[in-house]
Amino acid sequence: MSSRPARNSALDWEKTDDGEVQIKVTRQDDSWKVRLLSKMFYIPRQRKITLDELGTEVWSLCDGKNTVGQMIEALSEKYQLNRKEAEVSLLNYLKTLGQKRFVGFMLDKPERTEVDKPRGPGDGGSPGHGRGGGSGKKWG
Amino acid sequence: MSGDGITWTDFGWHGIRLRVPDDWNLGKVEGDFKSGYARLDDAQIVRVEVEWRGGRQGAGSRVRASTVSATKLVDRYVEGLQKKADKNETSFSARRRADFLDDRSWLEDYDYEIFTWEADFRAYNLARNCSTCGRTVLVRILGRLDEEIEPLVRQILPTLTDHPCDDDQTHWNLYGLSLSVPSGLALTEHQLKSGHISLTFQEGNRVFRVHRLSLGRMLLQDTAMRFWYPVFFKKQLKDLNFEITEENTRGHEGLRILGKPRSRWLQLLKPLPFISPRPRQFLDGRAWYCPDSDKICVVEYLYRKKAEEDFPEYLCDGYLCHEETAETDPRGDVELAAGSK
Repeated sequence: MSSRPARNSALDWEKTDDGEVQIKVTRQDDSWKVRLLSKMFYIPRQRKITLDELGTEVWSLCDGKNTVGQMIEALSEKYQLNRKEAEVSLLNYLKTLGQKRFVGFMLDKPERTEVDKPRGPGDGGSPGHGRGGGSGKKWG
Repeated sequence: MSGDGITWTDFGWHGIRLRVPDDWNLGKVEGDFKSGYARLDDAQIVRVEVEWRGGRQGAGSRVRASTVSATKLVDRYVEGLQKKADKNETSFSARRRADFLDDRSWLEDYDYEIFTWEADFRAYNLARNCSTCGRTVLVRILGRLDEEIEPLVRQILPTLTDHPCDDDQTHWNLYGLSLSVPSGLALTEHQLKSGHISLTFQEGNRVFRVHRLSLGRMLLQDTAMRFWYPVFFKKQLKDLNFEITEENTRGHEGLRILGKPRSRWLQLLKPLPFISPRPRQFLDGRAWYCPDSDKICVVEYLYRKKAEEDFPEYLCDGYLCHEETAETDPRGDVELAAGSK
């Protein structure tokens, strides 16, 4: 939630007249297989990916300054989404963008002042562990 | 965290209802009316866990109360936690009959126990047997060790209800969806996708389905609703001859959808192996777009016989497409303004 998604600076992108973002992806892999196949089939050197309204909004928020948490807030407010709805959709979308290497995730350097930091929520291990696991123990 | 300045919302599932801060959302749900579990999370940690057992659906009259007393139940629960803590070599302490609630008048008719435990988190628990519906409910509200949530716990716990009140309606509240249905309707299916919530209720042969879709403006930006509906619900409308007319619902522009089963030929193949045609069902539905909440709401009523054709208007009436949140004490009667009425 505290990571800051940032657009891949090597990517070429522009805004269309409709206000939608168009990302231009240039073919990188020029291995002999690709070269051979490109002799037989047409493989474009560059392809364009057009994002829809929501995708464009997310893309503009991926500036390396906004944290994922802030992006969730912004989207849920603008599109009247429940926080959880916005969170699930955004995280999936960012995951896809990350896998395609369109965005990267910047992490702030953690401050470590103490030798032994107390275990935070979600570490689990005791009856009341945090997010994801609940208390773990049910009655009966 | 104090109780002041918090925006509250309802959580309602299988007759269990609780008023919680609006950033506590459903994170996990399982089970059915007889027994189940629900978990509410905020952006960081688990906040509320509710478990329930027993009770009878649509029970207006008194039913047999649980045979296990709240004290015995807590004995077992705490013992289990202690064992787990010992196994993991973590510190654990429980305080039975805790006194964090000043006012307990709302618990007078119940067999209950209030207790707390502390491990990685501090949990404020209420175990309660309801003599009216026979349900046993265990609620725990979790906070970090460095967090003062007692005032919040004092506000949340008294809002717990475990059975339909005088109006005999079950309230379903999750992710901003607010729906009241007669308590006799049993939830048979649910789909909680991001942006699309769907709940299916059944009573005998009659099926009632409710959908809520987010980002309505975006879904309808290039098309009219009457063209969007048959495309989006193509699968459901596959076996039906349907007719769509424009009709206002709850003060919003909307549609009325009437569908008749296509033909009987497929039904004749039913005895054959590997062929399982859908049951012949009529459809009467309403769909409307609420611009205030930017949601598309759909209510579908599926029935087998012509005799059952009256559309249950109460489903639309009980469906609040947008609500005004209120900054008030959750124990007060907070008016959920339908707005569109």
